[in-house]
Amino acid sequence: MDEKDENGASLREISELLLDFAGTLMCCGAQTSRVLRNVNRLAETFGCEAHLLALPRTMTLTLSRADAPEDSMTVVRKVRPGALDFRTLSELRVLTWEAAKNGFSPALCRERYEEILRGAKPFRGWRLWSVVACGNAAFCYLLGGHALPAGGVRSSLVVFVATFLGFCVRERLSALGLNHLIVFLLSAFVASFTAGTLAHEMSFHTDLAVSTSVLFLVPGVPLLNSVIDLIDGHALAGLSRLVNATLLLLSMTLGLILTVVLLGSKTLL
Amino acid sequence: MITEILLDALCAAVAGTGFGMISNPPRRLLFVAGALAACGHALRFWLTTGPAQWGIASATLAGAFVIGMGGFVAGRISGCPSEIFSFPALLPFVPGLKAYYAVLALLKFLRCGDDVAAAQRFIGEFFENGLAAVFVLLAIVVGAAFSLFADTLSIRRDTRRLRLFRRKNSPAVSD
Repeated sequence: MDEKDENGASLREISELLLDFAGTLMCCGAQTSRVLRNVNRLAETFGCEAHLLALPRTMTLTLSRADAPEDSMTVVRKVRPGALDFRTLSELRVLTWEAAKNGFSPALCRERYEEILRGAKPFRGWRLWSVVACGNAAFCYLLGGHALPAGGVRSSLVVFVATFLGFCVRERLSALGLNHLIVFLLSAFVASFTAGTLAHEMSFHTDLAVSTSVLFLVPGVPLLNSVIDLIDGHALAGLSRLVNATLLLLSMTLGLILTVVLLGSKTLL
Repeated sequence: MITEILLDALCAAVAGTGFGMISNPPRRLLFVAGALAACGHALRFWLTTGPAQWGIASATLAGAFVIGMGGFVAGRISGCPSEIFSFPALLPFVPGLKAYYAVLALLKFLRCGDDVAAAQRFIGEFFENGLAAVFVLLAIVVGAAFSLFADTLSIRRDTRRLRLFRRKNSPAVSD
């Protein structure tokens, strides 16, 4: 049943490659339709037909040879959670087109896939925290800071410090392997509490600084992907992503509420 | 007015680039996301504060559409998926302040006790800000979805071309 093709690859090996590929794409932030398209393109290249059920945490693939559809294999795989990585997503997509155009073998595709994963070096550490903090400070100015004669620049500075600390907490706690909801709650609390305290000490209205300080935690990409999945007809994957993103938003809000309760809402308005 | 629009564009570009870094995009292409954020946000600013006086949700839809289509064009030119450009650029549209005011109004509503007038005011604020946040979020998604559908259609066309190319070049497939 599991005979090797002219390239020496068995259905099992091709299934493993396709599932690894699909899982990485899913983790990197691709919407479900893109995952399915890329997997089908690769399967066609290997002379196979793939039927993939892709959910954010589990994937099921049924694979058969295009010339012998009666021999098929179904593999179920758990998807390991990972960070968003658009660079890897882009390179994997390019790999599928190259494979389809040049007729790559499964072994060559596996080699190129491993190379792409080895080459993925995300921007980390204080440089990333500073860039994100700059972005959030600019966002604060954008959201209303420029309407305040002097408070705008001060709010942006406060947001810079708060975001830097909040993002640092998020990275450190994630590295410890803590539950991501607790990580979001604590990061939101640290960022908003820092913003509230600093702004209160500097004697200006703090609503803008406190509300903006947590916005770096908004799961924008998962939210957009979930709604796009729903519109695309992938209801299960879309709902699953929507629930995950909503839980992250709730955790973030709880962290913010904790700050409001501790500092008092009168201080914050 | 022009100075304000330029300042808005600059802040949006910095915000889009900063948030974009979280998802580790190809660094040489990150400036495109910043430029798209600047265009989209400046357009929204002009539509809401300029002579047109549009509402925030419809102006966001227009801005998100421009970003989405810009992302689609950049994706076709560079060969990368369009969301690499459009998603970071859309993040500055996220209605964080409205959502925060909605949460704050809800907390005050829960605390106001027997004061009916205050309770009515706070629940009104909660719905006003909460609904505005929801509609702005929907506008962002609908605007971005246009580009992804354009992307899907163009990929289908490319796939058809690839299959035709294979049939011409491979006797085994044409059999």
